[in-house]
Amino acid sequence: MIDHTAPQAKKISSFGGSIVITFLTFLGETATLAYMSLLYLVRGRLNIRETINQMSAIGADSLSIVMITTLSTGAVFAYYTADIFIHFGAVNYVGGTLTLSFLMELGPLLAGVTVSARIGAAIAAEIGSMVVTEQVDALRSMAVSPIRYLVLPRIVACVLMLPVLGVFADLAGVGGSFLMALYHGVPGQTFLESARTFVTERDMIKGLVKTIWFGFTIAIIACHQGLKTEGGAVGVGRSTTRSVVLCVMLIFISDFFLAQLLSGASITIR
Amino acid sequence: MNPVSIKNMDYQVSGKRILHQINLEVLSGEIFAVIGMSGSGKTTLLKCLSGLRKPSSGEISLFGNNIVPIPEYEMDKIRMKVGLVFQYAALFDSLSVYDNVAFGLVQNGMAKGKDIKAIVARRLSEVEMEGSESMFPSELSGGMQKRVGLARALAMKPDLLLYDEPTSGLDPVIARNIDDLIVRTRERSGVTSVVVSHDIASVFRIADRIAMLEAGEIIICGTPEEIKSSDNPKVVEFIQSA
Repeated sequence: MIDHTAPQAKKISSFGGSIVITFLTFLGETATLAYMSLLYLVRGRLNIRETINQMSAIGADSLSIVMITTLSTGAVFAYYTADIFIHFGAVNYVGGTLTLSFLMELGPLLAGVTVSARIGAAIAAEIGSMVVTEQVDALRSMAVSPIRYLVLPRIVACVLMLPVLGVFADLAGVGGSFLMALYHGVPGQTFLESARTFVTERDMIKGLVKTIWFGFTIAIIACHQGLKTEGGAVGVGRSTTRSVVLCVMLIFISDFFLAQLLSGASITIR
Repeated sequence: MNPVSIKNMDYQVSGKRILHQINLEVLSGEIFAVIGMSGSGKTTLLKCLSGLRKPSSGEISLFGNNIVPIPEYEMDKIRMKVGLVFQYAALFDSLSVYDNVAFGLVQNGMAKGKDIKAIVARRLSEVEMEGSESMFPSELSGGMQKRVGLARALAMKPDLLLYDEPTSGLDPVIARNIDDLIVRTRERSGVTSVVVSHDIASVFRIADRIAMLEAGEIIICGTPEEIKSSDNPKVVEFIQSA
């Protein structure tokens, strides 16, 4: 009798093996990229002009989209929450709950996801286009490291600008919540008192710490995907898509671990 | 010591052989051309020479330094002496012509302020592109882009210039201008030049010596006259089909 399971098992194990290899390669390459960038930063080789250009693209140009996204999310979130809280006579908790949710979770997360979609895609597409049109080779041929010239300014710009965007995301989100809560009959004074009672500066700082990590993640993933681009316009499209998908996935996954870490209880203790 | 010396060089990608047992010597100040059909490995050879690709085995010596085993930061020191002119110019499309030509000088701290301005103006004038400083690559024709690409490569005053298909995609008049520019550049600065091309007419006009690549191997190397009189069927076919 012929055993048909053996080739299938082989296929599955080789598929599993290739996933592990791809994952480890990805980890190794992004870690190397981060390490090399850090080395250039420590040696004082940051290109200030390019960093400012990137800060403008990441910060100023993303501000409106981040604020619109968080404002509407805040309003929708309050639309559902306020009704339930009022129903159970917990009006005093509406402001605190919504503000805390935005400062610690939704503001940073939405800023991260929005910037992933807008800036992560733009970085991967720009660097990818430079790879396929040999501009990255041109950099190297002139003894200019693409990591120093392209990657480091984008990492620094993302790490500096994401917290700024996070603050505006918090403001817009809480603002949207406040307006919707008012519309649902929650007195403004009650909303603000509740926020003041439940929320501290530390909560906001915890949220902003997350945005620093999200900024780093977006920049490193987008640059990595851009530099790995192969095969013309199709390759650029593929890198751009992959960059957005990976950034959003990693932001959600790392958000889970950061929430544990920043709330003072690690997973291992639990 | 020859500026370029290649010994037993192989280049493979995913087990596929692209270049096999390449042996070449390029003499100081000569224009050395590498010809061959599309896909014969010419551009790969040029990229290996500029250190942009690492050969699988063998040795590439530039100015006496074997560049195969050295790390990227050491390669950068050698790259300062090598200029590369890309097939499609590879100008930085977010930068003006001035910034493109000044790029290597600025990034490597090779000159400052007024000196950079003077060098850029001189290089642009050498390639007959004066007055184009504020233009962007998207505003230039293919021939103009190649000229700016050459000016950019010349800005760092290289001892070795590598040209990747300098006349491809250009009309015959512009192609001839580029040929003249390559010869004039050599005459003016004495730079050693390696030209990769499948434009046989252009190569016969400018080259001192020619090597032909066929499926990743060098099948002939000699002066233009020796190439023309070769009875190797591949060489004859290539010359006749041009």
